[in-house]
Amino acid sequence: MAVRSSMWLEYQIEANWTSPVIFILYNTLKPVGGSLLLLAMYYVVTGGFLGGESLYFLYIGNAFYMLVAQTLFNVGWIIHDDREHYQTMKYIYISPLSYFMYLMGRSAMRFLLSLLPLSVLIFLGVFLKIPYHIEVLLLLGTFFLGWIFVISSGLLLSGINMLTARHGNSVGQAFSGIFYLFSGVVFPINVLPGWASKAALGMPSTYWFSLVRRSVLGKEVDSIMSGFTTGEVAVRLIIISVLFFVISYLTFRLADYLARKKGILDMTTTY
Amino acid sequence: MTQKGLRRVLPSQRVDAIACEHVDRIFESKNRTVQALNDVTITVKKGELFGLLGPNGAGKTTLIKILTTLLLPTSGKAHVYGYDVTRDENKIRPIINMVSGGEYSGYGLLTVRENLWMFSQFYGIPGKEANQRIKTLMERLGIANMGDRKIRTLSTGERQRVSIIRAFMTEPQVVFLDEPTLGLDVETARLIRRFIQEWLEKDSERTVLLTTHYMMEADELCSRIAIINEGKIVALDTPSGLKNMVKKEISLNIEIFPEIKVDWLNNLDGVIGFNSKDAGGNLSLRVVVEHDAAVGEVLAGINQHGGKISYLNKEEPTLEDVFLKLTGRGLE
Amino acid sequence: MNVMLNLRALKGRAYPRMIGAVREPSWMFWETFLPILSMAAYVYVYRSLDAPKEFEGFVILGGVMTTYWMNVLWGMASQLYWEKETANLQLYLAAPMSKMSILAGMALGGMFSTSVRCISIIVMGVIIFKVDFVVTNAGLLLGIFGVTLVALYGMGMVFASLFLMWGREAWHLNMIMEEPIYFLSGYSFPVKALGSLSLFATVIPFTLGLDAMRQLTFPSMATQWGLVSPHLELVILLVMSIILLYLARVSLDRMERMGRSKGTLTMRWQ
Ligand SMILES: Nc1ncnc2c1ncn2[C@@H]1O[C@H](COP(=O)(O)OP(=O)(O)O)[C@@H](O)[C@H]1O
Ligand SMILES: [Mg+2]
Repeated sequence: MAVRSSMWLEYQIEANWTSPVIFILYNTLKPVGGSLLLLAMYYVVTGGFLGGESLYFLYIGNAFYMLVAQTLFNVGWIIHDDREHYQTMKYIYISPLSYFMYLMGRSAMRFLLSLLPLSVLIFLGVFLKIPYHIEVLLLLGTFFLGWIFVISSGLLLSGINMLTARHGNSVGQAFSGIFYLFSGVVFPINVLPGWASKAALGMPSTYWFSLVRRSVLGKEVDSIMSGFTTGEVAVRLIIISVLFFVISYLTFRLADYLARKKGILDMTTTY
Repeated sequence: MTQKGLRRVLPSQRVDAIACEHVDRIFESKNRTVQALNDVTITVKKGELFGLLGPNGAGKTTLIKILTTLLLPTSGKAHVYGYDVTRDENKIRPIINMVSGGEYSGYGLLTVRENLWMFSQFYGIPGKEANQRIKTLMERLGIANMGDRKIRTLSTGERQRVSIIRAFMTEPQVVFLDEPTLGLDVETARLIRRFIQEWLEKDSERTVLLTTHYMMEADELCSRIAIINEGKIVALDTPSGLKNMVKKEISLNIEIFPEIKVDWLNNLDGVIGFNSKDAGGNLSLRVVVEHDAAVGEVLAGINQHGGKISYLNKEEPTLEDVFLKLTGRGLE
Repeated sequence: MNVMLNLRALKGRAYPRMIGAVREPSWMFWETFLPILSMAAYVYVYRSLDAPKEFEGFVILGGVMTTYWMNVLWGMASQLYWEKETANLQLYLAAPMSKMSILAGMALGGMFSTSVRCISIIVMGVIIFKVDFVVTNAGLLLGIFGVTLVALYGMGMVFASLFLMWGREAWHLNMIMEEPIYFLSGYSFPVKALGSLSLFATVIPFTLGLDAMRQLTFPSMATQWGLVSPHLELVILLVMSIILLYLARVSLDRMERMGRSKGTLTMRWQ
């Protein structure tokens, strides 16, 4: 019930303010822009050639990254918006609906809504002649694990937001940059300096993006990640995701406690 | 002052501080149209403390917004110090300021003093001078020791004092106070009222337009009062002039046990208006009637409807009764 | 126009921005450290493709200019809307100063944190990625940089009033003004690669500014990837600045007028 109503709220805020056409346009312009940016980079380096493994790698990685980025972009606002804009945080907080479940519901809805631009990008990939080789079951499992990963990140971010000021920029967007750089999204992780590619192996997102490539392209080209079988990647992802969720959850709880202790649940911090 | 300077000041002295002529304001949205102001005509002279009294939704804030150049009238003319609010907003803004009760502005990360300083800069007050004025006013309003606190950590009353300082530190000619004592305790409200009165006394050119739905406040402070209901000015006079309107009438305060329905009062001859409040199982009723005969009928009616009277008092007419008489309903 | 009044107003609004940055150092993490990470990803994309070193430098410069763009969007364009939501806008409007000085104050006040980020980006480029900037004409470079900023913030002022009139949550709009604009302006690649589209892209002030700055810091790439000569770009940018500042004034007036007649300037949450 709690989750349902917060999902409904997210839908109202994010989708129900305009016509479906504008909604789709508005939600796909950003991801499409991001993909075009990468394609242009590829284009200038190869001297006008758009094809090859590296291109498919970065195109698919970037498309699925949008799922992470868009969800976090929105989740990054929830706390600050509820607290300082609508000033409803304290009312939601004292309602029987747990704030945790509320956040879960809102991020779940956003995740679902972000599937739309993702499918647009996958469709556009056909024009790039991306050799799709979709393993449906694996892809479904990947979506589910991805969702766990994204809501864990959202929870961690929300915990931090409870204690920090509202800055101008979207903190969610900045936060997702960590995953963009350290998870082999648009380039293989062996390009990173040694310490960073080791760190990448500790991130759930690295395994998730590997699963994405395996389920959409039917293979893994990242030289480090292809050392693992699909099963190994999945198991590692599950273990690290569970750990990540627990850490995020505990952080959120701690932040929640500290916020009440410091009396900053309803602070306003604009400047 | 030179001859020329004098002449430049003189004409404006004859001008009224505020003048509204047939001001209408209509809000249109997709599914409804609200006429917030309906043919409002008032003039406020310099030096006056003019009150606008009316229930929630009467249009008080709308009129203030028009006069503070935040909103255009749909039709009619409004002038502040002789300047047209529609065209001359740049001449009006330097000489006015405003406070909206219950609304706090500024930035959460700044201290009280910093927030005030920032607003003073929007009026071009030199830094030193601004700090001096802020200091004096903070002392005057009893929050001298709160300059370094964040607004968030202040109580409602303290915040409202900060808003008052924000408005008065720019030394405006006309101040608009929209329910300035909303939600404040008796003592803070009194402090603010006294401050407003003293501020006015210091200079005969200063003018205040104050809105309120507290009867007593309007009665105590204002030299003249306009009563506004559903966008219309229904009466305009001095407080005593207004009360004279109901001199002949009789006001009754009645406590009834248990809580009974009183809508039958509407059909009773001689009843001018009434207002009833739930008072913890009892009904607290205020009735204004035309003559003694009606008093008996009211009391008999209460009996008939199964109510027992636990308290009965005849009172001097108040502004509330004026309002009851004019609109047939209570203010609060 | 009262110059002293507007200078004071500008200072007044810049102050909270500067104080905010000092008092809430968490912005260092959010607005400097994290955004640099996403930018670094583009550098690694070039590395994974064995691109010439200069392209990495292009990304660094793109990172600098988009930082200002972000500041324009988040610190300015969406700000009037935000001020309305926090009940400050009505006090700003009822005050005698020009609304442009308020916006300029926001921009200047935000310049501190923005510049910290830009310097960090350049330092990272030079130290970590070992990018070699070859500055041939420092005066022209600085001139172009300055004029680009004026045009950029002029555009921000136009957006500020448009966003407010639009009346929708301004960050919805900000969101679509990021990646698509990055693409059109050639954030991470030379804009000339867009062919005739690049002509269209030059309405975004930092497209030309960025292109000129790249020509002036990586002369080896100038002939292949430069759009037009930096001098010409400077002239165009100057004209754009004037037009944009004028438009800013007009649109702020229009916004105020429209808001006053519709009664939307003081209403929150819509
Ligand atoms: N911006 C607006 N849009 C639509 N209706 C409005 C707006 N502002 C006020 N109203 C309506 O105008 C009427 C008068 O409101 P207001 O002036 O705020 O009353 P008061 O201040 O006396 O309580 C109310 O019915 C209110 O709903
Ligand atoms: Mg009101």
